[in-house]
Order: sequence, then C-alpha cells, then structure tokens
Amino acid sequence: MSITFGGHGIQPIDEVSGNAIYTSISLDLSPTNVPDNNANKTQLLCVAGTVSPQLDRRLIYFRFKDSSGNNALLKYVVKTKLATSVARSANSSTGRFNRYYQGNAGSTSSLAGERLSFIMFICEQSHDSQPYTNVHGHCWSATQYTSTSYNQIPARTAFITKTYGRSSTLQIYANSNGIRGNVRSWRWGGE
Amino acid sequence: MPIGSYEFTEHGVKPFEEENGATGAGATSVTVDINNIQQKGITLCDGFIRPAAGARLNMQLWDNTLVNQKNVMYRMGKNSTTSTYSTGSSSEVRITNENIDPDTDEGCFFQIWFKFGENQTSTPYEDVSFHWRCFYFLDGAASAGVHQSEGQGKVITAGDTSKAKFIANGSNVNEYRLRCYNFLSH
Repeated sequence: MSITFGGHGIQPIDEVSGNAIYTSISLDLSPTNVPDNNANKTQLLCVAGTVSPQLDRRLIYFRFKDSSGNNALLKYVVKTKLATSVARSANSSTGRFNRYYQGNAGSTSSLAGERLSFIMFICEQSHDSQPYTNVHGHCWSATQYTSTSYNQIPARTAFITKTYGRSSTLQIYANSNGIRGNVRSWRWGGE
Repeated sequence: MPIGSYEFTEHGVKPFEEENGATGAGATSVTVDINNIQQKGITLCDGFIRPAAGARLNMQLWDNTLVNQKNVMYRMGKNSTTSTYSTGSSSEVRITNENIDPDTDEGCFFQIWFKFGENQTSTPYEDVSFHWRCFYFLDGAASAGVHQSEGQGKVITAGDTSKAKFIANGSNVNEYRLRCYNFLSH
C-alpha cells in the first residue's frame, strides 16, 4: 500500500464516506509489513474527517487495532478550553476525542448541525525492544455539545499506545449506537 | 526520488534526520538537525525521549556548528491548569514544566514544528519560530500521570538556527528516537 502523489498532493490511503451508519468507522493505516516491519521503520500519518453519532449525546471514541484485530491499550489525555479538568486514562483500549458529549441535532440536514470534526497526527513506529517506541499522536477536534449554547468546544487529545506491535487500523465509534462520517487517512512520511 | 536534500519515496517524505538510541544512562543530551531547508520553510521534529531519572525535558537551539547557542522567548502551558510558564529571554525551552517518568514504557512523546526565516535584523523581520505538542508521564504518578503540554515561541538571536539539543534537566537521556521531516521549502 504505497502512497500516490496526485496533482493536488498526497492522495488518501483509505477513505470512508457516505451517509451509512456504522458500528465503527475503520480506516487502514498500515498493512502488516508497510513500510517495513523492521524495528527502525516508521510512518507519519494524518487522519481527518467529520463524524456524527447516530443518536444524540454520545462520546466519540477511537482505538487502534493490529492486523489480527486486537485492540491496542492506550494512554491518553483530552482537554478543552472550557475547563481545567481533563479526561484521561493510563490503561484503556479506548481513546476519546472529546471531554463532553457530542450532539447530533441537524447532523444530516444542516451545515450548522452538530458534528465533530478533527485532524489527527499519528507517528506509527511501535517497537518492543530498546529504544522502546509506541504509536503516539495528537488530535485537534471540536465538539458540539448537546443542548447547550456552546456551538464549538475545541478539544485537544494526546495519546500513545502502551501495546507494542504495529497498528494497522484506526477505528472511530460512539460510546453506544452507531456513527456516520466522512473520514480519510494519509501517509505523508515514512521510512 | 531524491531532489537535492529532499527525498520522496513510495512511503512518503523520508526523514532527513534520524537519531535512535538506547544508551542507558550515559547520554547527557541528544542533538538533531532541524534545518536542511536553507533557513526558509517548515520542518517537523517528531519522536520520544525517556530520561534516566525523573527530569524535565528542555530544548536548546544552536547554529550548525554547535558553537553559538540561541536565546528564545516562549510560553508553555499544560493540561489541568490555566497557569503557564513564560519567559521573555531564555537559553532553553521547557518542553515540559514537570519531571517526566523514566519507567520503561513511559517518557515524553512530542511533535515540534519549526518555521524558519532569515532571522536577521532587516526590515521586515522574519523570525525562526516553533510550536509543540507533548504527551508525557508525570514522574512517580500512576494513572493520573498522563499529561500534555504545548507551547510556542521564537528565536531572538540573529543568524543561522540549525540544531536542536534535547536535555533531561538534571539527569541523562536514557532512550530516544527522533525523526525530522522537511515538507515545505522555498
């Protein structure tokens, strides 16, 4: 799965779009051996998109899976501009885009509808001997909080996986029920 | 496909700098080249550092010869507080304002973007500036020790800025894996 450089820049390595409801949105990040499952290889990825939960008032989660479908354990922290407290975990298979609930009013009918948009940068270089590395990354997103006057709630997430081994899939889902969205992944650097 | 110092492969942009180390407690610092774009454009330094003992991560900026250190001004903030660390003139940047946990699978993971300019005292001035995101583990803490810091600043010493030296303040660098990419040139 090498990348393609098009007339407007790097083309996505995977894309999910449309109005279908998914249990989770899955994006390819890396097949087992690309760029190379060698200890000192890495890839720099970007994932960006807009999602909305099937039902109102949901938390939007993400998780990494290896090529066998196993979830990586994550450590993450999320903060917003609205509070000094944060959401975080040092041992979870689920990372969070947002600290507050995400609404879905008008999500499929209005440009002002409640959706979550994000840009996530991922360094994928997991390696289980010294120097130890994990998948690590940062994400910018904006929540639209259900039934409040907060139109956009900027949130920043930082994370690493604490499970070594390559991560080949990123899944995005809601804490219950389904999710829809338009999401793309790009590989823009690697060795 | 190399084009000068820029190399584009089937996997994307190839890092122009890579430093990996698992040297134990022996390295006092790790230095990377952050500028192969002739002082104009944008580069990214992405990676992790684990100190030998609980220590804050500091970054110094130097010229290409590692003779002339640069002064900086910057402001840094972290999660779970509205307080920040700020300075109008300093020889180094606090990437974190707290000690990082040295445990095996912990440490400090970061992205630092550098924007280069001529950095000369000519009008209009064009700064070398930087901003960063950092994820780290608080020394000695358990599950509450997952932290984030971020900040931005600029170089206030004229001339070439080409090297970033990372130091575990009061300790040594135990493990590190750093890569630098050049995306936008001139």
